[in-house]
Order: sequence, then structure tokens, then C-alpha cells
Amino acid sequence: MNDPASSVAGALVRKCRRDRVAAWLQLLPGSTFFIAFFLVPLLGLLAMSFFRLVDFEPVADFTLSNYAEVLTSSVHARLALRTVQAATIVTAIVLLISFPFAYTLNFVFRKHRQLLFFLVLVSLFGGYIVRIYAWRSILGNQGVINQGLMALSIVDEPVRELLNSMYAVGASLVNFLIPLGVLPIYAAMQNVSPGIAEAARDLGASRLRAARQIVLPLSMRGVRAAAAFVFIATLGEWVTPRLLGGTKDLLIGNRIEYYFGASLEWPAGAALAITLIVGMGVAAYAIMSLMKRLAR
Amino acid sequence: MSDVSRYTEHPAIRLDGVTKRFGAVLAVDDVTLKIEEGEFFSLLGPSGCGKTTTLRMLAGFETPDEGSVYLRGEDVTLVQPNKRATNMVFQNYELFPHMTVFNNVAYGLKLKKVPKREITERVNDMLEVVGVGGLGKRAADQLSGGQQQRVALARALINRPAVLLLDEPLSALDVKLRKRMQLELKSIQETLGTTFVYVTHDQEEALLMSDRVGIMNEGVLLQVAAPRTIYEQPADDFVADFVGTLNELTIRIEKVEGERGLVASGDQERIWMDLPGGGTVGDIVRLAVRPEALQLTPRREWDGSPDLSHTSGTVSDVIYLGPFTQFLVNSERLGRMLSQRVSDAEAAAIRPGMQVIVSWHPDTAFMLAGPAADTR
Repeated sequence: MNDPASSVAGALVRKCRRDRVAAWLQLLPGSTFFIAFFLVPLLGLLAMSFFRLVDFEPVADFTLSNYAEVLTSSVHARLALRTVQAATIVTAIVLLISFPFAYTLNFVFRKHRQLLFFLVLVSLFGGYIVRIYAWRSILGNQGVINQGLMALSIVDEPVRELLNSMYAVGASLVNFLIPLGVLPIYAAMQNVSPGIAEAARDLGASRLRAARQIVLPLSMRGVRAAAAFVFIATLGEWVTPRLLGGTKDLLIGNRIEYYFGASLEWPAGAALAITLIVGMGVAAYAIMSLMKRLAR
Repeated sequence: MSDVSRYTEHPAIRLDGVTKRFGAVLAVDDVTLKIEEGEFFSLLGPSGCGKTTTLRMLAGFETPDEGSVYLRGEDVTLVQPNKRATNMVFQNYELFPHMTVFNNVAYGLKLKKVPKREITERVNDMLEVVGVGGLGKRAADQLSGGQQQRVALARALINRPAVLLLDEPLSALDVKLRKRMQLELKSIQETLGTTFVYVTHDQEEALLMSDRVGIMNEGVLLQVAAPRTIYEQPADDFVADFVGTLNELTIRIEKVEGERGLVASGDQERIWMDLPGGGTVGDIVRLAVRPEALQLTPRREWDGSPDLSHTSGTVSDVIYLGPFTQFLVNSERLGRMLSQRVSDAEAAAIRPGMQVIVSWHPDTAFMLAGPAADTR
């Protein structure tokens, strides 16, 4: 007969093997979806970026001319610069709002944090387009702000610069992205002991200093994730500038849309999109390591 | 400490009618208290009794709804925690995990802009005092429980607070380490002369370390006294029951002689008690005696000493606790009684089933007020 110890070990090995198979099976639906609807189209895009355009038809004929065109265009350089500027400003504003919000949620209104947290989530349900049109009616000539300013006789006629401007784009993006900023920061703060800010205060730190020197470094992982989410989301934006921005407020995303839409230059659009994706990766990495260094 | 004398005209802490509510819950109910400079003062009570809330009002983390808090004579009721000369050792230590031990301890001094050289000197000295010298470069999240406790103590003490507040600082440690830290804390307190306010639910700890103990229950400060007084002359039933173990004897007065009453007499039974307010024959009273006040004598060796209260019974259980042995005795008249004595040869001679006389000096017993509680 088998000795009992080895049969127990055998059973354990079999169980581990079964567990590993189960784990792979659990990954299957998610990864299938991801591969079929994200990775495959992305590879298609990559291939397309090397195609040649003949009579408005992409032809599978290897060329680097799309990249040459995309990278040398001064229009693209200007758009990219503006996009990075916008993303930086939006990210900064979102972080400046999200961190205190998450802090307040986790440390000050601890008792009601579930409710407040739910309210943040609810704003995500609102829908993207609906929100943009809401901003149109807030900032428009007949909007709340202009009507209010006129009622208070601060201005005689509506301020037209409110709508179709970079401010409108920025306000809408900040509004839309705040939950994306709050969620990771709040999640990271869950691991920070609520007493630790008190300990800093007890040792003579003001509220602000306790938040900055103790809570911020301890929730930096969440802040970094929030920064990356918001920055990348803004880099890829094209609907908001289209509907809320003026003709001079378009971002790099609008250029991609133009290539795939009005001008039917898919290979150039693909090259620009791939460039943007690579750029985002580099930017995200740079932000992460910069913030890691700042946290020290 | 040299600067203590400057403040002696004021107590270190004075609480004046302090009340705190959380919603409908009365957490602290009209507490008035003075804590002297250099004192080791403990707030003792079950969880939820308001002791931690009281401590947090001393630290400035809670604001009283009514009443005032004075620190060395100065009204600090509304002063923020970072502006108070108090420092706290938290229950979970709350060390800053992203900093080294040195930087944890130096934090308060850096905020006060103390010169760098002085910080280094004082931090290293303080780490020595609390017994973690040489650990300065260690990350704060790489310490054992006992080390964390010491660093938390150093981080608070280095600011030379007027009062050090300690919120159950030893509760997370294992028994052996806890016992050692109790003695060390007491000795550090005596060396530095700092006023300590110590919150605990462990009565043994409170009695062992404190100059005075305040006992709280349901937000009310029931008694403030030296440990011996708390133990031997508890102010009320709750204190008597909470601190130590009690034998509760419910008996009827049979005879009154002046201020003394004979509450039971019979064959091998006489129980005396003081009746300071006088008493009436026939009254039912509740008498309390500590287990260690009860002597056991084998029945045939009893010499019948008339001054001692005594009753007869049978030993039902012997519980050996190392240095002490406990005996459960069933008395025909008084029910189950617990006796505790040092584990010596005499104690070893007493065995289950033995007929014994349980005796005690009448002065060691005290009367309980209130209705007879359910027997424990």
C-alpha cells in the first residue's frame, strides 16, 4: 500500500493542478473578449498604419510615409502641444479637487462616506453626451450663468466666450473625469489608518501639513493611478472639443477623427493613432516616475 | 524635572463639568477632575465607558459639548490638537510607515524647527531611553509590536509634553511583554517626571502603575482614588465589582451591638460587620469580601477565634494558578465562595471535599448598596 504521507502529497499536487486549471478557465471569458475586441483591432490598426493609400483605398503595400507625414506636420505638432497642455491642466485640476474630496470622504465624514461615495458613482451614470449637452445649456447664451449675470446686471448681453471655448471643454472634462480621479485615490486611502493623520496633528502638524506629509505619500499609489487615468483620457478626447470647443480648440483626437472621417485617409489616421498610443505610454510612464520621485 | 515647579500653582489638568454627546449617546457625563503635575493617572473602565473620549478631549480631537478643559491653568477647551502641549500614544501606535524610526521620532521637533544637530542628539537619546537605541535607521513598518510601542512612546515624549496621553498602549502586546512594558512605562514616567494620563480597561494594569485611578462607567466618573483605596474601599457597587473579584454575601441582620451588627450566628458560624449608619434586626444586607481576604482552615483545626467572621463549608474545587491557588467553597448558609491564597504547603494540604472554616477579618469586608444582583 501507499504510505499515507505520499498519498496526501499526491492529493495536494492534484488539487493544485486542478486549482490552476480553474484559474485559467476563469480568465478565459475576459481574455477572449479583450483579444477579440481590443487586441485584434489594434493589430489591424498597426498594420493599417503601414498601408499605402491608392485612390482613397488603403492597399497592403509597406510604407513609412504615413509616419513621415504624421510626425513632420506642423499642424500635428501644434495640436499635440495643445492636447498635452489641456491634459496637464485638466489632470492638475482634477487631482486638486479629487484628493481633498477623497480625504474628506475617508477622514472627515467617515460616518457618511458610503453615501458620499455613492454620489460620486452616480455622476458616472449620467452619460457622456448628456453631460456635454448639460454644459451647453449651462454655458450657452440662454444658460444659467449668462442669465444670472444679466439678472444681476453684471453684463448687458450674454458672454459668448463661455461656450465654444477651451473653458467649456475644460469644465466639461473636469466634471466628467472627477470620479475617475476620486475612485483610485479613495481606494488607496482605505489602507491609510484614520488615526495616522491625528497622530501627525498631535505632534504639531496643521491639518494641511498632516494631509500633505503623511496622508499624501501613503496614498500616492492612488494619486498616480488617478493622474494617469485622467491624463490619458484627456489625450484621447475628441467629442468634447467638437461639441463644446470653438474651431481653434480642437485636440489631436479630432485630427484622427478627421483622417478616418471627412478625409478618408485611414492609413494616416492609423499612424497618428499608433503614435498617440505610444506617446501616451511614454507620458504615463513619465508621470508615474516623476510623481514617485516627488513623493520621496 | 526643573520646570515642574513653575506650574505647581495649577494642576496639570483640570476638567470642569465636561460633557460630550455623540448623537443621543451621552459619552461623557459631567466629569470634573484634577490631575496633578507629575502624576501617573489612569482612567479605568469597561469599553464604551467614555474613558477614551475623555482622553481625546484632553488631546483636542474632541470638543466638549459642555464644560472646560484646563492645561496647567490655561483654558484649552477649543484649542486645536497641534497647538496643545499634550502628546498621545495611540492604541495602534499610528507610526508613519513611510518614514524611518528616526524620522518618526524627529517629526514633532522638525515641525518646531529645532536645529538639526539638536534633533539628532535628542532623538538618539530618546531612543535609548525607551530601549530601541540603534533602530533609528529601520523603517517604521519593519518593527515588532513591542518596538513599535517604544517608538510611539519616544515620538510622543520627545516633544516634552506637559501631559502624555496613553490610549491602551499595551493592549496589542502579548502578556509577557505587556507585564514588562508596564514596569518600564512606570519607570520612564518616574525618571522623566512627566504627567501621564493612561486609559485602560485592565484593572490590574491600572492598579499596578498608577498613583491614582479614576473609574468610569457609562460616561460617569465614579471614583478617583489611590489604587489601594479603590480596591479596599470602593465607592460603589460598580467599582467594587469591576476592580478585582468579589464574594457577594446576602445575609440577614440578627443582632445589633452599637455600630456593629451580628448578621449571622450559629454552630461554627459568626459574621460581624460594621453598620456605620446603624441597622435594624431583620434587614437584608449585602456584604462583599475579596477572595484573598478569605482564610481556609480545616474544620478540626479551627480554634474558634471569636473576633473573626467565619462560616463553615466544603471545598468543591481547587484551582492551581502557579503563584496562587484558588478554592471554591460551598457554604451551607452563604452559597459559593471563592478564596485565593499563596501556593504554599498549607494551601497544598487543602483538597476537594474537605470540610473547612472560611474566616475573614470583619474590617476586610464592606457593605454593598443597591438590590441584590444576580449571583455570579
